[in-house]
Amino acid sequence: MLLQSSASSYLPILIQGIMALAFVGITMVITHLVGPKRRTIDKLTPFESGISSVGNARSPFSIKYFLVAILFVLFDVEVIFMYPWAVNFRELGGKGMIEMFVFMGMLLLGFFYVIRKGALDWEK
Amino acid sequence: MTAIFYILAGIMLAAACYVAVSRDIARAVFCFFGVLFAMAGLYIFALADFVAVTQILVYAGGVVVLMIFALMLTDKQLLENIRRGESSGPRLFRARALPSILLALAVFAVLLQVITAVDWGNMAWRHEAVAAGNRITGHENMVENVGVNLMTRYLLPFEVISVFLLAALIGAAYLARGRTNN
Repeated sequence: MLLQSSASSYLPILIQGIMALAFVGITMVITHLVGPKRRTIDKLTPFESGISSVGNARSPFSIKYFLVAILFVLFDVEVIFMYPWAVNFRELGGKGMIEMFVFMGMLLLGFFYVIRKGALDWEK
Repeated sequence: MTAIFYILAGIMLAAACYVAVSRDIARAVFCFFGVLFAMAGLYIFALADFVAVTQILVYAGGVVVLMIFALMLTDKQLLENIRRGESSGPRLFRARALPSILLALAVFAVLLQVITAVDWGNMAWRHEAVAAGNRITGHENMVENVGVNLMTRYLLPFEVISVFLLAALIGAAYLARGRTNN
């Protein structure tokens, strides 16, 4: 009883997810079955904007991409803490606002450091 | 409802087994995404809505992306050299894998021991909590609960988290670009 009442409120999300997955799957299967297939050598070569592909796709990337990913995860964690605050925005009032601003101010400090450090400077 | 639980648990276990056995690290990362997503569903069954949202946003959305980026930073040739060194011996049970298998079995034995040894219906702290009215019925909005407690009772840990995130931010920026700058 206890379990059903809460988890069942997520049923619409589950149905939506199943619908999205089913749409992708059914579309792929139907286009595969219905569409004509004429395989020629030219069609089966890897296509790269009309230019013949050069080198291996699995070459090491620049560390800059990884830094962007790390920054994304850190700000992601910040956003997740804003969520329970935003739900109670009215009840917590001005005091909650100040508390949240202190929290965000700390992270903004880090953001300024990252900018000043030139970590997001793509050309360097 | 119970069927959905078992489907989620089944997806999670199957994906986790593939992660453990797979030799292809890219496929393992994508299956790990499946593990994390199914785990978010299990958190909802445990009445932990906030943890479920965190799981999807931070782990499935962030950490997996981080893993894929880490994979892209690596050198394919180096990975293949390591794999070639490992490929001697039978495929599933290599001598190299024995310690990890033993460790996994030991953890499983401990979990089994706990499950069978604990009398789940008659724990003292449960009776105390029920008597004191200190329990959830499943009808509350759990995220609201987390929010109010985070902003009042656990305010200091909450603000300490921001300092912790600041340290991680500065550390990441320094490690990635520190030596090229003044």
